[in-house]
Amino acid sequence: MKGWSCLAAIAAAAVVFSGCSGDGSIYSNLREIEKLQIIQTMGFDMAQGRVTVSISSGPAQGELPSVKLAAEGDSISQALDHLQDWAAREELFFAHVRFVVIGEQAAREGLADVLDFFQRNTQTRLALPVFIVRGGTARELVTCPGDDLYEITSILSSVQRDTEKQGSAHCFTLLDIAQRLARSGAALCCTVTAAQTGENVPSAQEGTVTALETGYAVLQDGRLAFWLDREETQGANLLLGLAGSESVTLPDGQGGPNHPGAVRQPAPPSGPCRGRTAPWVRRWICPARLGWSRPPEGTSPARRP
Amino acid sequence: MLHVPEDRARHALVASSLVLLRWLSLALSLILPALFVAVAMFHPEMIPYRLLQSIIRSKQEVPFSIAAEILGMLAAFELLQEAGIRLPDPVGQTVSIIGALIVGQSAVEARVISPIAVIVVALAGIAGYTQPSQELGAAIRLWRFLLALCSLALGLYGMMAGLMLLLWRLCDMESLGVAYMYPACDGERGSLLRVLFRPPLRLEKKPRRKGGRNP
Repeated sequence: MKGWSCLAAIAAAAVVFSGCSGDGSIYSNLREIEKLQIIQTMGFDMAQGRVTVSISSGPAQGELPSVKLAAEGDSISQALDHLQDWAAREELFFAHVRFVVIGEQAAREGLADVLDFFQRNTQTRLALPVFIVRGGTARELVTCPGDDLYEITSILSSVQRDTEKQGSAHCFTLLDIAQRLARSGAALCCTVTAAQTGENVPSAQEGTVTALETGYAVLQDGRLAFWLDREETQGANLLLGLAGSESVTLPDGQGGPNHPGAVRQPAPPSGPCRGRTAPWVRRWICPARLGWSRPPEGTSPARRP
Repeated sequence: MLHVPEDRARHALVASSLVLLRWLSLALSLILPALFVAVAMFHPEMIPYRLLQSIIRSKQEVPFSIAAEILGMLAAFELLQEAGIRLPDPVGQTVSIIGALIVGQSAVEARVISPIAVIVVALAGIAGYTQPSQELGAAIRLWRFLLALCSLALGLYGMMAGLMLLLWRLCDMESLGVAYMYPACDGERGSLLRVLFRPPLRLEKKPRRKGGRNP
């Protein structure tokens, strides 16, 4: 009798812990796996108080075609509801999102809503690389036309691998950005531009859109403050200990990087700058190139992330 | 339960590896179908992307849910096993080959069941054959069904609740006045290691039987 009472208590506790569901199961998490639409890339745009969310399911996999959708709403949740209505499958599945793309205007208006969405959503993770589209929208990149090779997830995967391998930039995650914003009020974010492959990338298939890495965006107080170009990005990488094996051209103090006497030397290996290198790099790169002390237009004085 | 007399004739390392393999087989046989039902139906975020895509592709035209597939395949496996045992040897082998290979392959090609369900049930069944004790093997066959049903009801919570129930039952049982979990529960140093491994014979001590009863 005592055993059966224990059994009944365990069963009752399990039911309470699981929540309720109307899908034919007492556990609310029931999902038919074949009805899931896996999403791999999410894009966010904001303009005039409206939010546009773009999604891409990644390259086509056998009988499963690639799905690209975009929907607008007053909030991210409302836009996702519209996407859910328009999706051919029953449930959009965000647990395997690999990349987050944010349009320039959305970045200027602030990343708080995006960070909040990824923080609160039970499916998504915060450790996702994030890219800001310089001079464009996330929608045009995420829903770009193209075949499987020039699908946005493949493109961003290639951009991430190449930039980190070459050390030209570092793909910061949402978690990195949230932590740095909370700690110092400023953060860096990798930027890309959408490029028509016929013009800017002649070797690629014509008529498609690809992404080119262009440096860093500096975020202050959760908003986009200003951009760092390629050379400034390399300086920032040196200061942050993220420099790779790419060669950098540094001024020798007599005329800038184009002077015949300019020093061309390999960047130090990854890790914090030590010894005489750090003050030398700070003296020549920080004030001159990074502009940390230069307050951008319409913003508060810059703080180093 | 998982030691066999031949272990004492083997080198300690070989015998210990085989005992560990039997423990792994026991776990696979017991929880693999239930784990698959729980993860695929309730927690698909735990499945890596490429595997999830592969499962979704294979499930596209299958009319049954994952739980129905697994429970149906488990029942079909038991049916084949029982038919193979009861029939004379040559006929039994033929039934097994026709049932397992031809019917299974045809069912997958006809999209009645998905390949991953066949793999899960076949792995669990094969792992169950490694048990030295027939009684333990029969109990595992029953608990496999029960745990799959628990997973169907409550996902991983249900599976863990079922496993706790099983553990509670095992710890509560006695056989001829000796605890069923003996010597793992006698509180002596090294008892658990002796259960999981086969120590070298020179280090082996004769186990004392005085504390065998449940408290």
